[in-house]
Amino acid sequence: MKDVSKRLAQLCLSHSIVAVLILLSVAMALLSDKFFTAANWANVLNNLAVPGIVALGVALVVIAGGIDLSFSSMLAACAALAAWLQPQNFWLALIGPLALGAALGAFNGLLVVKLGANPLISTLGTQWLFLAALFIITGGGIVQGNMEGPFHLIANGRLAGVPLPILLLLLLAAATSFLTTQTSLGKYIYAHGSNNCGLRFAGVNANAVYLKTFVLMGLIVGVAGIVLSSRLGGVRPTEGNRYLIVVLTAVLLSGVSLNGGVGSLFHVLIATVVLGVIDNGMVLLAVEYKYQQMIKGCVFILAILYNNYTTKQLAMLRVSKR
Amino acid sequence: MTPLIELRNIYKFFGGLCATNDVSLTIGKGEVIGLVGDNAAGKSTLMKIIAGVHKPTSGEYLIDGEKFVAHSPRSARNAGIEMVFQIQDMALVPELDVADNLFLGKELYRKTLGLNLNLVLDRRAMQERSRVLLHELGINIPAVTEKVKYLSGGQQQSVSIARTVFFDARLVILDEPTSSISIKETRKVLDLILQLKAKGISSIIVSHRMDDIFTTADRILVLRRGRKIEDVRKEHTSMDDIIKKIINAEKESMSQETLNQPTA
Repeated sequence: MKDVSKRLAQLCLSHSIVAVLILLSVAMALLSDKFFTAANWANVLNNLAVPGIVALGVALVVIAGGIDLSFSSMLAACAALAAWLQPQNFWLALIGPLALGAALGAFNGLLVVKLGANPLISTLGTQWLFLAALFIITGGGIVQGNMEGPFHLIANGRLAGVPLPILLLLLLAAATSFLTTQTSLGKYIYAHGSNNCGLRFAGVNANAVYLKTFVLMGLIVGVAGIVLSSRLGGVRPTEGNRYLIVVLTAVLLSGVSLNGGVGSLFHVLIATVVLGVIDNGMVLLAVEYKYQQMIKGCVFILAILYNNYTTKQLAMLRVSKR
Repeated sequence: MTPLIELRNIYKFFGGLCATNDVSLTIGKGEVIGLVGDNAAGKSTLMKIIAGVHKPTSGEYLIDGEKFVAHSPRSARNAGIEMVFQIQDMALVPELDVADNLFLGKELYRKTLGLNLNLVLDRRAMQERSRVLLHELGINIPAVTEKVKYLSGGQQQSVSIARTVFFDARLVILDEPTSSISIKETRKVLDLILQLKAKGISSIIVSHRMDDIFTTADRILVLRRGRKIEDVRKEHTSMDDIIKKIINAEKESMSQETLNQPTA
């Protein structure tokens, strides 16, 4: 009996972000009768698709022990390329952004892996670098694509009544979860973040693992770029900047540790939804914009504290079990 | 019978410093060697030469009677030589569980659609085999699904030693294996070394604790200033003798060096 209660406590503590989502949803449902409607949830999730997908990629790099702050510029670059290619060829507009994302990810990865640059600093640099390059290439204006055709459907179509971006987000969340929990590359990503010397010592090419993680993130940002481009039709070079804080908040909120080696991609998805629900809730409750920001900040701090608390409790449970 | 490892007249210079001075030794199959000496006696250098980290300046290094020339940690490992580090520069991954650590870099995979794609990890099989191995070696760990960071120092040390068995080690080099663990756990780690011996795996134990050396070692080597000054079977010596060798030798050398010093 004691064992069962301990297990239950462990389960609750290790999935605290899910508990946060449930509590928040219940609270919202009590406060607004518009909250638990299919239309509202479709709206919430649809808005989350782009930052949610990007957060999955960023989380991978953070779990591997790095960080990539250049995702906002990468996202804009991929979206702009998609918008530019889209009137010419549908398939090119899909492959192009993915290739660009992978290339930019590889560039970041090589800086970190081959030249030993600190990922925080070097990707802060490439964030400006990519953005500046985008400004120069586009002349600073909007890259306009068509507002119709199959490409337009990516962000605006529905499959079995569910908006396609939501399906894409769930699909990518499932794929990255599978990668991190079921494959050796996923295991090595965690190992790299936790103790890369240990990984190297085991005879694994740790640098290749790290580089692959950056490329993988680039690919994922490429997908987000396609969705963003399809939704907007025209892309400005600064389009990615507004996702900067949301994505980082979602990654940290999910319990992914900046020290590396810890986190779950499923929780990243849930954390993104939590942020979406907070946003949506404040709109439904007609909270003034200035207070919205304040509430978001408070929620963020509370979540981090709660996260620290649960991590500690979990460790204590483990230790006392021995 | 050819010894597993044979060193002949090994010298290693770091600039003008002679870290290993004309050392010759043999290690038989299943033999446990205790390597002792004061600080800066050249124990680490000798270990690192055997582990392929350092290339000797001159001398011959033979494994199974064949010259070992590759001198890289990887080729030494391929020859079955594994090094277990102290806890502080631990080679384990704290955030992974015990089974994942034991199989790190040597994962087992499930068949995907009936094919060996090496895509999906077979965690169940790895956990089962880890359980069997740890049980065989008498290592007591709460669960193989426990993260390594939640294990005690001694348990972590045991897991790193157990891993060498997975890597088909023939010689395990242990650098101060008991330096940072409790007395109770020390006993367990030493037992583990004897278990390896029973499996025909040789080991070299570097330790400052004479108790550790005398419980496990078959033969004891004393190093001083890069020279091997003693190579004796455990039965033919005593703890006092060995300690004297380490200390007295030091005094001798001091007097000799003062004699050799040119007068100003």
